[in-house]
Amino acid sequence: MEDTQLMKGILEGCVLSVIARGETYGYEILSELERYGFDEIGEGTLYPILTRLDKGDCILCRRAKSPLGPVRKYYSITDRGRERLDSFIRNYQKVVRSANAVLFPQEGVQPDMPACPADAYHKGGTDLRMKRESEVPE
Amino acid sequence: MKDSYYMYKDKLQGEYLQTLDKVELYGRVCGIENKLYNELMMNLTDLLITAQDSNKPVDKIIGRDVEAFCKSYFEDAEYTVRDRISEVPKRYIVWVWITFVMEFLDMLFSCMDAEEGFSIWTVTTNISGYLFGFLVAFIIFGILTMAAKPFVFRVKRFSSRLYDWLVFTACVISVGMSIFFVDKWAIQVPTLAVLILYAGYLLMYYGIRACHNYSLYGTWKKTEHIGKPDELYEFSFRDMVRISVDQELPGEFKKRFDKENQRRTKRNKPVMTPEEFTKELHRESVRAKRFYHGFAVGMVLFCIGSSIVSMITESVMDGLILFGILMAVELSLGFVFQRGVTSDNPRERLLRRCSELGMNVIEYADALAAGTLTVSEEEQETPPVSNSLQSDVDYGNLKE
Repeated sequence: MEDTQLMKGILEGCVLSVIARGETYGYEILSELERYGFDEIGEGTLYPILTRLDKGDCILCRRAKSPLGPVRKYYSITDRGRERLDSFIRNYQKVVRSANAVLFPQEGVQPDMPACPADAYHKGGTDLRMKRESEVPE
Repeated sequence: MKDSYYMYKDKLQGEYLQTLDKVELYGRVCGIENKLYNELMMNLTDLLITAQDSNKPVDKIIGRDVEAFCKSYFEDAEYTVRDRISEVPKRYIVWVWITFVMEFLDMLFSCMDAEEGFSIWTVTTNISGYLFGFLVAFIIFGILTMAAKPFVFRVKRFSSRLYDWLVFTACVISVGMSIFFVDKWAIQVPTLAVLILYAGYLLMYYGIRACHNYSLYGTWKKTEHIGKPDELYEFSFRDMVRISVDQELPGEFKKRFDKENQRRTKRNKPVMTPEEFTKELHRESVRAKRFYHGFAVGMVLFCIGSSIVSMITESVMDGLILFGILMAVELSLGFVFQRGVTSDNPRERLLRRCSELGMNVIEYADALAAGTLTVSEEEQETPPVSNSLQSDVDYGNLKE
């Protein structure tokens, strides 16, 4: 993950998305992100993001003893957090679509084309990425 | 007792422990406020223990560069300049209280020894010690922090113990320099002015804190007593029994037992059996109680004796004041010792009840949770958990 500036903004949305799936904690978020390919993300990057989200009332923080002993923070998403996630996904789609159109003009990608599965999030659950692949002219 | 990351540190081993040590030292050098520091360290300890448990390498948690991790973890953790500034009054409140009481006593004694024509403004204090002490301490600790930070990761042998020694040396130098400056440049100021200044500081501190708490929580009380619902640790009675049984009793017992036997082996003495060791512990506890009681009686006799001497040599008033001060000190010490002596009572009662029922503690907790047993009134009065957790103990509806 070399491009730190690019990553910072995206990570916040991804962390929020992981938390939106159900109550979770730091280690689980890190493992989940790693599973999706964010393998260079450490706690040093994650903690400030979680603190920022907590201060912005996007997530709720509950402390409880972990099975291994220390007090652990469990995070869950708030209504405000859901709104922020929706807004992030909308903006992300827009940016990705535009960026794809600029970066891959030879593939005929149009700015109004669905860019990623995130589109499905707003369009009733259909995986539009599959559709997009079939629509791209050969 | 407040939960601290330190209690779980011994669960870490090898590179996990080494990493935590380095991060801990860096955090200390950064001078972050204690509450935030403990929270950050607790979070990291939990992560490292979980990683160790699932055999995940340390670099997957904190990355390959520990120094970069520390910078990001401590310096980006929303600890702003505003936070640092708002920390200052809190940091000096104990010092202000001590000096306020000292100056007040000094003033009181001066008034009592006063002769004719005495004015309250004639009592003065040499403030050069405070001024230069502060200045020197500020400079020395500033230099120490700035100088120590780069060495945390550059010098392998730079440890918390070495840093403690450096801090101790800096304290000695600060005190020495302030004593030197007190003699060199005396700045005499009326004690009353100093007292007014300190009183103003204390009033402002507590006033602002009360207003702040009122605006946030709707009460004037100290925040530690409020307990925000989302920040309360969630413990059930059963959890507490588990923690107590798994960690405190056998852990502590085994540690002391092993240590005692190691000592005996070194001295070529026969090793103790667990039964012998238990009896020895009991004898030790009885001896400790006797010592505390004897100590308390001795202190009272000392107070009375010193006061009588003071009454004879000085005046009755001086003797009474001395008696009051000594008794206040003794009662405070006695209170602390008494808490230590009686803190084992709930646990003793719990163990006695278990032995009466022929159960171990976990079986007892399970029986309580299942509702097949009722808690005796004696235990309900003093639940077998630490003070900070008592509010979460529910004897009626035990959580699984």
